[in-house]
Amino acid sequence: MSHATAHIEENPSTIPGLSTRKFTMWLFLASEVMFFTGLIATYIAIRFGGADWPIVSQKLNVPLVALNTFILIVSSVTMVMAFAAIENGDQKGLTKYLIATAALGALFVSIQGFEWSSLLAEGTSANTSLFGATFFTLTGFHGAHVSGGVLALLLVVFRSMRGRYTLADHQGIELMGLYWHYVDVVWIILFTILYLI
Amino acid sequence: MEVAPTQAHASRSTYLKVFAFLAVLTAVEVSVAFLIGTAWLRIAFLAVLAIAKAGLVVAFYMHLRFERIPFRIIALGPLILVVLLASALLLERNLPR
Repeated sequence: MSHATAHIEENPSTIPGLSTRKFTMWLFLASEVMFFTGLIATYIAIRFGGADWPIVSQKLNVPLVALNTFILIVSSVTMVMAFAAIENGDQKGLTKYLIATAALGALFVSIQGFEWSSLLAEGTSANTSLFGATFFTLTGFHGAHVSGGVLALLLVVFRSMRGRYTLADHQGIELMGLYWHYVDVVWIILFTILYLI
Repeated sequence: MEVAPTQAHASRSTYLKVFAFLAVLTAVEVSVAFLIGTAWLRIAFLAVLAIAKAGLVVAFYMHLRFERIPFRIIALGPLILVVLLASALLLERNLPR
């Protein structure tokens, strides 16, 4: 690698100015797009294929989930503020915002757990109807992604508290952010398709 | 124009402005879902709002607006397939059986 480009990224890259780690994260996210597309396409095919479907606004707690959507959006804001903090070399700010992001993610999963238990209590489960099967599959896979993100965030918080990320070297924060925002984007689409349409 | 191609990111104030848009769009979404009775009109509105929100997050929070072309192609390429798949499925539903 030439010295002219060495300062741009911490990690070696085969194309000047293009980080291999970031490129790989984007490739992973592209594969994740196809993963969720398969599930969403299945949902569309079943729901609009004439299956017996409940009135969504009566079946699901839309105001609660709208609040949960807002919580996940706020967690994206705290994530991006964590990135902005370390871009300015502010390690304390980084840790603070990362903890807030992990907490909001955990809150999202908890509220989803409450929603699930309410539905199960009414007798709606993945086994009772096509609606239940698709609903629990889609929200379940997304919730698993959020949960995995929270675990990853906790690891990043731990590393941040030990001073792992600095003004000069903080690509891990950017990659963590890419995954977290991606999970937020998936929920933006899922919220509309599952709850509003 | 930004000078450093890979390090140019938005500022905090831009992040917060984007957040304000996301919050307002979410409120509009929920209102639209309950207020617009005509199904196709409601779905069209909701689709546009969801795509706008997703676009804001990807462009600003994931910094795609500030990335080089290869990143943009990788990130946006699969979306063309998504649109094709969704359109095919919806059209197929309207065909006579």
